[in-house]
Amino acid sequence: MEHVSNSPALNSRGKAQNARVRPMQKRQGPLDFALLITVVIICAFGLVMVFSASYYYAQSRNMDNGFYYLKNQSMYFAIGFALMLALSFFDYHTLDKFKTLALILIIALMVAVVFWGVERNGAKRWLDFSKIGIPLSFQPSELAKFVLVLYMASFMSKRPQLMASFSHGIVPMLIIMGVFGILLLAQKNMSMMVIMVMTGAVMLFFGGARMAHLVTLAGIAAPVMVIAVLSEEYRKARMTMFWDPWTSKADGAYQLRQSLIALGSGGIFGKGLNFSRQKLLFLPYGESDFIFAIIGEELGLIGCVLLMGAYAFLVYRGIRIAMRCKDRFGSLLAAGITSVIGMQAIVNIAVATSSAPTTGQTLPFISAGGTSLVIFLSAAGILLNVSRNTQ
Amino acid sequence: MDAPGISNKKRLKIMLGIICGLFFVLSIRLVKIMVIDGDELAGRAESQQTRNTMLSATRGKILDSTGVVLARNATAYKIVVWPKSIKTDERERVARELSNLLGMDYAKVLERVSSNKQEIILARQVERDVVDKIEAMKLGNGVGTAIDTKRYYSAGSLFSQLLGFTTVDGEGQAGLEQKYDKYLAGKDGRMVTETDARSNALAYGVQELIPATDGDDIVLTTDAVMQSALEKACKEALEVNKAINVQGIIMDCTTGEIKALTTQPDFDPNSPPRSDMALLNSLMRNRVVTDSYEPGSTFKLITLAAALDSKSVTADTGFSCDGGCIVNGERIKCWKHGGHGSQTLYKAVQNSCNPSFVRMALSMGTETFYDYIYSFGFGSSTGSGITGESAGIVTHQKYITDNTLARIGFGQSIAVTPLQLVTAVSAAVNGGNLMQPYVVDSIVAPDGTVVLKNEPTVVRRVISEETSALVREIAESVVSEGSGKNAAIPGYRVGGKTGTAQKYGSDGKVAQGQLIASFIGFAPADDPKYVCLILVDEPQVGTIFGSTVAAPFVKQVMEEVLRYSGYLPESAEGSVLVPDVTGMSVNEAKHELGKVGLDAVFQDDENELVTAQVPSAGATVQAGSGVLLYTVMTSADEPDITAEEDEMVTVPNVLDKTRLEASDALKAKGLTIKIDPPDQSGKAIRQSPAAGETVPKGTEVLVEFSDTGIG
Repeated sequence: MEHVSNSPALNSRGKAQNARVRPMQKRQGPLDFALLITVVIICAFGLVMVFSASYYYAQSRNMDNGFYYLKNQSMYFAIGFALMLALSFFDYHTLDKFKTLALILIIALMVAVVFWGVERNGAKRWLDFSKIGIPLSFQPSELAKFVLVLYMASFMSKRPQLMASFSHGIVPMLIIMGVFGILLLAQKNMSMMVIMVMTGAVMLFFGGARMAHLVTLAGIAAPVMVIAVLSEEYRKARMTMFWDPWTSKADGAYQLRQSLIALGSGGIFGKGLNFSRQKLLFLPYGESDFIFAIIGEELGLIGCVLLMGAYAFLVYRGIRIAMRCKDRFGSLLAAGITSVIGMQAIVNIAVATSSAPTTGQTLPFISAGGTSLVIFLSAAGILLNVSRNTQ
Repeated sequence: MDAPGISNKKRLKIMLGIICGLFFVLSIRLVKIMVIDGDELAGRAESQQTRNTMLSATRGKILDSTGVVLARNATAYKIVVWPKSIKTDERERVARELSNLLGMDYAKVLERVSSNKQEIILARQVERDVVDKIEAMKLGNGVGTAIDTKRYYSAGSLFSQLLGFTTVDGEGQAGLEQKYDKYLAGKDGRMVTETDARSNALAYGVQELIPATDGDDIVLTTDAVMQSALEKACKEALEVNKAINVQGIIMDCTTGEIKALTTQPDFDPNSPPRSDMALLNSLMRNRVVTDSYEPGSTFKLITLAAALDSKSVTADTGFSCDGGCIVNGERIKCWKHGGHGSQTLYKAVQNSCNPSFVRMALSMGTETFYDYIYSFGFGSSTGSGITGESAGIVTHQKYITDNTLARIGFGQSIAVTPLQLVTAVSAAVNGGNLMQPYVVDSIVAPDGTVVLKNEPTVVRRVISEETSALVREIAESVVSEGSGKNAAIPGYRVGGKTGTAQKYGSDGKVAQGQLIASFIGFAPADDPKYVCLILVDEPQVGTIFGSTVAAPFVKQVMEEVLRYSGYLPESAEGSVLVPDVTGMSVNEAKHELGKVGLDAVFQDDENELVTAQVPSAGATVQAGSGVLLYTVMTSADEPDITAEEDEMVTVPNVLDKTRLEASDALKAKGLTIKIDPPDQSGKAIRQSPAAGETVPKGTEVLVEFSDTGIG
């Protein structure tokens, strides 16, 4: 009886399995065109802004080659765009198979950064392959965020029931996050570590971890962070200067002041495209980490709000894909990728407006920098692919 | 794998909400930065994105009436530093090179080049060769030079008090430089250059250029040649008389133009003694307008003019003088003991007879005399345009007693500035019009436009032409026949009046032995053009009288001025050449001078050697004029036989006073106490002369005290 009574359940499960497998094989769904257009528009806008922000700097640094950053960025955009299109046709389920390999590879690269990394701005973030003949420098931690998303999405989608358990569901994830965290700490890349922990936490949140566990973890992590920050004077100064960059004597405060001056002199309507004055060597990293300030100076409050609207729309489309995705893995992957894009945009803008401690996070799709652009476009490709598997 | 569950969807929505919420929060933050703080931040942006270069206006020149440049700007350079454009590792080299070149302290220069100011002026008014050296050092973008200006007074100390000087920054600090600063200064221009963070000017940057407007030139009424004649004479008078100061003015009495004015000692405005403020303040005082003094007999010309004009006296009025007169019970003495007897008006003026002028004053009465005094411009500043003018002191009519009025008649109890006196005397002799004295003829803009033009202005008619003619005639007789002989210029007609005035100490009482000798002269006497006053403050020589101390210098100046102005001498009948008598004994000198018909004026022992003489040897003077012989310096308070005016004082009552009190009371009156035998104490019981007697100043008063010493 029990057997009989069980059989419909079995059947229904079998049907459910069939129902799950079939669309995967067909994979006829259209991709989220709005998302694609938004990404392309943001990227195009980014190219224009990188050119505007970098021309004078590049010219003064590279002897009359004002197009240096534009050329580089265009090239990486081409590569990234190609990768995005390719990945949008590449079944994301296949990625599941590479997750362990990706994890091992990225850990290896991050270990390599610890030993052979190039130091820039006080942190070892970069691997410079030009030493071994490949003209490429690469920031593995940018990729690591998405590898973490991929790995956690895969783990948690296969064992949704385990996520309620602290020891069997959350602890393994914490271990992965811990490994990344330690490696980033070894790179002295505190800010990326924090981003990584936030990414992991968001993934746990999406993966179904119990709120009690998350709150407990946050309760443990927060004091640790505070102590870590306060323990070193330079770190404390760096972490607190954003409160009052005008009087702070910390190294980065000048940058924050220049960023605020750029934004403030932009006003509501901005000085007009190409008419930034702060890009004339006043604002360091105006073409990369602080490009938002130049956007604000040239296009004003209106430009800034429109750009944030574009990001918000992108996040909305990403979450929509996650909600409509037919399987858990795709949903978690889409949610993770979307969150990383959204959080990084927020962190970058928060830094440029002196609303948060300085981190080295780029503005997704816009900041000059090959690694960042290619990786974000690739992630967008995966997101687009997931969008094809929605109801 | 399952599709996302309900709770998942809920969490996804929460996440979407959080992210959108954060974007919203950031938007609010952006509104704060870009709109609310926008202006302030834009201001900061502008200040760091532009380089503001001052374009100094060239300060206007000051010229005399003949076009001689008295003050002008010469080009100099300043060293400007833009610290932000000096690379950190270059700072030390830049500081070392600059400190060596400019002779500045290395540490101070290093501190300046390392500061975070936008622009610092490191040195000013450096010469061209320094600029060349700096350019050769290749110190980079952060060090530059700019045109600076330096005020240069081409005529040296000439007109120093009148012109004043500027600060190092070229702002008027004293004198006309200060008073007319707004005309002279012009308006600085500005060049705002857009730059990048390294202060490089932008190739396509907007440059805002507000050109400098140069200052206006000021043309004075003065004449450098007359000024140098006056300064030379005043300097001589200062030295030979060992006076505190000597003041002089020359005015064109037909127009009111001030042709020359000086106070000696003076200073060189090219390098005023800025380190000694007290000295500088004293030297730059334009005493001819700032200091008022009791004019003494020179004022008698005013009394004469007023009395004649009011018809209180006529040319035929006779005066008698028995050595003094009594006004309200107070006896006012004439300077000549025993009096001048009966005399005509002419003689009374020539003799400078005090009782005669007392009579003139009293016969006019307070109201009439005061009308004339105010009408002549006393009691209010002349408005000549010179800074720091004093109004003088004219006691209000209400408080005037006949005694005071009588004293005003011969120039006491009234204080005037030298300029007021010259202006008033000009009116008395020029036909009766009080002219507005002025020193600025015109102000001319760099493009030649006349910004301001002063024309001769008649303030008011004070006396009739007939009266003025009579005053001229009488004053001329003072020089040709009376006490002003020493001012006579052979071949020219000169009028004038001497004056010897008492000074008041800080206690407001007459200061014993401190006198001001002066002479005011005008020429040509029949149709006056120039009025010249020279005033010698506290001459430290034996014979202190306007006739001897000041008149020869007025003569010297007038002669030069008249010749310079094209007045040709008439037949120099009766003129003699002054022989050199220095090195002789006074007796010999007297003899030598007598041979050519000159009088020797001296005070000391006839056997003393003559060390100096005024006028000096070689000068042509009218026969019968006096030559002042200087021997060794003697005390100034001994009366002389030729004294015009003799200070008389009333002996105070010192009975019942202690030694100290008695001594003070006598000292205050200019008397000295004599106690014989000296060791007495207690209260005074006897004094001689008795209280109330009138005695000459400096008289010894014998006082006996109650307690005689043991001896």
